Amino acid sequence: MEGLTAFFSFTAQLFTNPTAVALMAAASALGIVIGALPGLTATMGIALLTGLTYGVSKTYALVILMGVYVGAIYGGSMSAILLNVPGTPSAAATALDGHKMALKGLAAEAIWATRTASIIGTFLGLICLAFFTPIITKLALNFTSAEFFLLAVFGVLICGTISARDLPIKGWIAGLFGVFLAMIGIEDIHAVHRFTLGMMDLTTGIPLIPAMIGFFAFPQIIKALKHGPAGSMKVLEQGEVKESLWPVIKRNIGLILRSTGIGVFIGALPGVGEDVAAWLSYDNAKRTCKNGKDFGTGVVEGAIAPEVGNNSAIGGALIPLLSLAVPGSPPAAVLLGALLLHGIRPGPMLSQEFPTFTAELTAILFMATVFLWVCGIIIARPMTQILKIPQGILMPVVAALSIIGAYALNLNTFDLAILFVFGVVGWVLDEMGYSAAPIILGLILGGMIDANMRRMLMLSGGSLEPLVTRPICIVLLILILWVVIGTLVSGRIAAKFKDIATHSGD
Amino acid sequence: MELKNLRSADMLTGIILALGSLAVLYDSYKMTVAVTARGNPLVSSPGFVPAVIAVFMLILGFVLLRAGQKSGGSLTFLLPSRLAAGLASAEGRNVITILGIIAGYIFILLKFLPYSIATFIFLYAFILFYYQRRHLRVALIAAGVSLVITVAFGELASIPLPGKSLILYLGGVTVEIP
Repeated sequence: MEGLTAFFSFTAQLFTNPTAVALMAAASALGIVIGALPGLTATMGIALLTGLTYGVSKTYALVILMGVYVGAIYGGSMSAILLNVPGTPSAAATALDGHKMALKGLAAEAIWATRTASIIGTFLGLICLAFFTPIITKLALNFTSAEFFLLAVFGVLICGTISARDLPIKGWIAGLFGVFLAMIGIEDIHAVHRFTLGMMDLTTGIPLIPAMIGFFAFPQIIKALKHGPAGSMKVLEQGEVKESLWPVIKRNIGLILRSTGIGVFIGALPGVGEDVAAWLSYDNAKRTCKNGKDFGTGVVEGAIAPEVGNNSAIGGALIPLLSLAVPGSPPAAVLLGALLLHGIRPGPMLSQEFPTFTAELTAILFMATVFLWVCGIIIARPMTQILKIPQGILMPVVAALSIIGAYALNLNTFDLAILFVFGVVGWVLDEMGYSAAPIILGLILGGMIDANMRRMLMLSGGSLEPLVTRPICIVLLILILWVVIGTLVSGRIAAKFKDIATHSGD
Repeated sequence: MELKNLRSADMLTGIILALGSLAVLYDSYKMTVAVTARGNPLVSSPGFVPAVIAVFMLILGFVLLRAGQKSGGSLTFLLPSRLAAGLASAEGRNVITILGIIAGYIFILLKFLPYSIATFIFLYAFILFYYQRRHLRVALIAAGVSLVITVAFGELASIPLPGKSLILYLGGVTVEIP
């Protein structure tokens, strides 16, 4: 009850403070733009601004950082929808249906749906943060290296299965390729150089952002322009939102709640993050929606589910951050640094040292949700106009932004070489029917798979017993087997029907 | 890509995956031997997980090769004459042009010129080639976008931009072009 009173009190203070309102509006808008630009992620946005907020009060600093965090996680969906180049890794799942909607002339609907989904997801995530922190923390504490290993494997497997455009095994090959790329660099336990080919720049591993931009942006640029100047004048016709999409939202309340549950829980797992939450939410939606077989062709549910998932993961990621001082996602990790900079020590003693801090942060997150709605509406219309720009102008600009985006995080020109190499590889793989998404997710989760697999085996003396005796592991193992066997069986059945159809014409 | 060509490409990918997996297995073996020789357990070896990945890739590589073969793929597209025909086609030439322009920007322009000027030249050449309007209009678009990106990233976000900065001394005033 006291927490609720504190929440309402902080909310009233924030909304009646002109400075806080102005800062949140600016931060939300900036966050959306940061998220929309390929290469500028939420993590980077928070990192860039943390230093700038050193001189301001703790409250204003958190207003700015949370505004950017929430805005950027949503903003990634805009470029995913408009350009098929996700602005952030967590928007890769949104691109599958979001961009297809834009190609059908439904970009405005897609942006409206993802904005609404993001707002609902963030709002539900903050409710979970406010009321369910102890329960979710307890569940998250049951995760050991065995569970993390299987969860990471499941995440990559699901992503590969869903995003495979041709043969299902191509999705798995892409995921495994991404996991292998994550092995490159100095290994954690014995400090051995793995697959660095003698190059010092590779000792720190393959940088994620340049690789991601290369894999997503180059194929898009080449696809748009490969037919030459005559083909590059194409302008995608877009309309306004024709009728209210609120019935779609009402119809999918169950989907939204499920995606929220997935997002909050995955967000609460240390280090996993919004990306996995988005993919698992998409997969759940594909399996449970009546039009699941149409996912990937431009259905609005395919855009809603991952956006609810990745935005509710924001609230989820703050749960272990505040209660255990363990960040639930990369942006939350940078936020931890910002909190420490302002004298806040998250962890078990937070409720005693700063008893109203959780309520204050929840109020700020609520304010960020409201301003996401406001700024999102204002920015949406100019953003849809992007599609009216001739491809011959738009794609070179996307290329220039991608290149500076790849450079901006580490300020390392080697990252530009990575961008180019992976751009070429990404285009070749795209031509051959491989999706970039499982490669990127494999690159993100490969380190987790490697470290946790070896840790689990070292602790169990080389035995795989934890995988088949721990309850959460059993559930994850069943899910993995279900996906693999289900995909192989359905592939064989589809091939058999194709055979029957081919021979029935003889 | 046409299905037959796709399956042919799948066959090649299967072979590359298989060969790559064997190379990774060999490297993993060397890493494992080096680490276990010091008394460390096998499962802690840095080569352990790459070896597991390589085994799965080897299996999937063979599956892909077999799937490609069964669907009518063949490796004849690797013949030099067919490769040359592909690169010489209109689409092939455009892909090479696009990659060439981007490579020129990253590896040449940014190495020797300030970022703003390199980006202007890159955008000017790229847009001129694929938009084909009057030079002045293209130059204005390229200059405008280059300026916006330079200011947004270099000044507002305070990111040190790639490229060589150019310092000019104009009548006692030092001007740095980012």
